[in-house]
Amino acid sequence: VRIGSFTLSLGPTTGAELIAPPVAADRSRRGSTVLWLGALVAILIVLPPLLSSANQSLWAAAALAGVAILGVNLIVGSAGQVSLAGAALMAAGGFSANVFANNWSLPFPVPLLCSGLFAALVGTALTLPALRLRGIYLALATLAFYFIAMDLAYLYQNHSVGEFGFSFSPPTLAGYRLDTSLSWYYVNGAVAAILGVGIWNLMRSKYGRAWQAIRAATSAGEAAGVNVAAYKAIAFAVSSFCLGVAGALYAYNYQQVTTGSFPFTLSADQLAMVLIGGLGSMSGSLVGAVVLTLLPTGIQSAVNALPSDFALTSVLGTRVYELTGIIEGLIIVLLVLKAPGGLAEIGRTTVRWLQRWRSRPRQRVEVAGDD
Amino acid sequence: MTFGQAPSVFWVGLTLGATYALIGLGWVIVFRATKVLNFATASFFVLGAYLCYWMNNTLGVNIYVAVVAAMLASGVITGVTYLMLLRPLAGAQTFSTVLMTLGVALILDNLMTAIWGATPLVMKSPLSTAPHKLLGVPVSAAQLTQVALAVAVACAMTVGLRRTRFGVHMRSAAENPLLASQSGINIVRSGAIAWAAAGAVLALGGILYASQNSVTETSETFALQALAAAFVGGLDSVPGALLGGLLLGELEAFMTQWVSGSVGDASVFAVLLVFIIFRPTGLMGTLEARRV
Repeated sequence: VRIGSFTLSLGPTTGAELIAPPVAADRSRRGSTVLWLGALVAILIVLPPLLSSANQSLWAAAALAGVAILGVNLIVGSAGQVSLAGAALMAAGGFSANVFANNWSLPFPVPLLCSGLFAALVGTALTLPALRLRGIYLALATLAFYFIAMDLAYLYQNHSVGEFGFSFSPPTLAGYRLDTSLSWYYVNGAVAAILGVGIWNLMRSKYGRAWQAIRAATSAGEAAGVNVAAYKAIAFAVSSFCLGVAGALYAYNYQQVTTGSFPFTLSADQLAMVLIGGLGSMSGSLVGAVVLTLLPTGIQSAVNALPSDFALTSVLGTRVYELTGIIEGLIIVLLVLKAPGGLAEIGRTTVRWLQRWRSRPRQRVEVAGDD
Repeated sequence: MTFGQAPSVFWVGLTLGATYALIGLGWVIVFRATKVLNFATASFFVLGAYLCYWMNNTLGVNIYVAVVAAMLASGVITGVTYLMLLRPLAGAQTFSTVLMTLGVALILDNLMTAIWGATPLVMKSPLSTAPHKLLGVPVSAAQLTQVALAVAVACAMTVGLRRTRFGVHMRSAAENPLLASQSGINIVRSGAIAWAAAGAVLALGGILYASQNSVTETSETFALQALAAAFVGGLDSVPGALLGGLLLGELEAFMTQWVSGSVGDASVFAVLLVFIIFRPTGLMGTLEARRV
């Protein structure tokens, strides 16, 4: 289906076809998109100070997950390489942040950048197997990579500080001491926004088109002149950069980092976020990150809201954690089965359905005397 | 470590390897028949142990009956999982099947914790763990049974796949689903039976593991290490799973003894990475290398 469209898009003059259908002429539509985006950003900036502090830390966590998910979506969604190493690359960022922030005492935003670059270096090492492997074999290689990296990190951690890991003190940025979850919400959100815009631009450049080609049909892309090895390496590097920055942010947010901060389930959760949002959809996966981060609290309050005389209430009350896991699992299973395109697909189907409903044929009027 | 310890470490490695081999068979049978890497393998492994424990301790069923019943129940659950959740994904991309099995694992793990609690499970084994001297090395009856059962199951599976009518059906369905179904083989049934067989073998592995170790959440990484073993043996080879399991069991036991526990773990995955890069077919696999 796509072969025709991307060989076309790799030509020197055209390009946007594969990324987005040709809607550029539709100025008014673009204007309304900008308006909606502006409104959303305004809400995201104004609303959090009004929330309770528990909710603020939750939204800070969601924004942090957003930073990480940008990287995961790039490699899994856009370039089509199923990677289970997400948590390990975050660990690379978090652990190297200790060196940059604590040992070298670099001023605040600099360690984020350095950790991102370090993780990008580590992640590029992943391309070594990734260049030769596809599909399930690549997933296996990244799984092995995760465990080797985490075992090394564990040895390093216990050798230098012990089980409790590295601690971080709140940094200052432009005179503000970043020690509340609200301040971290803004920092995480700003980083996510910067990286998001960067990746959005990358996706519309020759890199984005090459990744889409690799994802849609690797050999056809190669035949059309895409240097698969180089572009895969770049995809892994950029993705790992985001994950590394997320790992460093994690260390600052929670003021400490241990190997336990990055369990294998984190890698799995990140894949689930990409699935929930819609494979390859950047805005969708950001929504997925928010949904999955807020899910436990949502379920907790739903259980609290149950009437106390309901027979299951006390049982559910003691098993909220497990209940969350089960519901998350059910969401994953149902989405994979019924809507593999995630929320992005559900949204599109709903819009189409609404449009069809609006333009539905009116009831036909019987004309008298018509045979 | 002194040289005198080597034989006993060897036995530790062999029992570890036997469990790896049984879990590895769970990965291999499923992968061979349906090309799915089942990340819920660990959950089915633990589920078998819990089911057996529950029937024996709570319901008071005889332990041997409980073992068989747990294997059957686990087989039915895995078979149904395949038919309901994985079969509809036939031909889907890797991302979908990986996430599906991860989702199943999430549901099963949390269900098990919700039902049986998070405390480590310790099972009473009818087998004696008292060491006997065998060729000058202390070996317990439980250890011997574990190794013997792993070898027996792997042999039975190999023979079954090569010699029986159903085994041939299953192999052809795995080789080329389209041609097999055109020749009148029910590929859905053969897939379901493969999954069920994997479930039963995993339950057996879980029960044997639980009879000597406490089963907790960490059993999950354990099953992933078994995947490494299965890969080294060859992801589509039943005898390979046995060979890979025993080899990596020994490797881990000796590395743990010589260096440290986490190096033991890491060495297993390092070997996996080397094999993935340089020999994706494993030691005994026949699969065409899925390389770019």
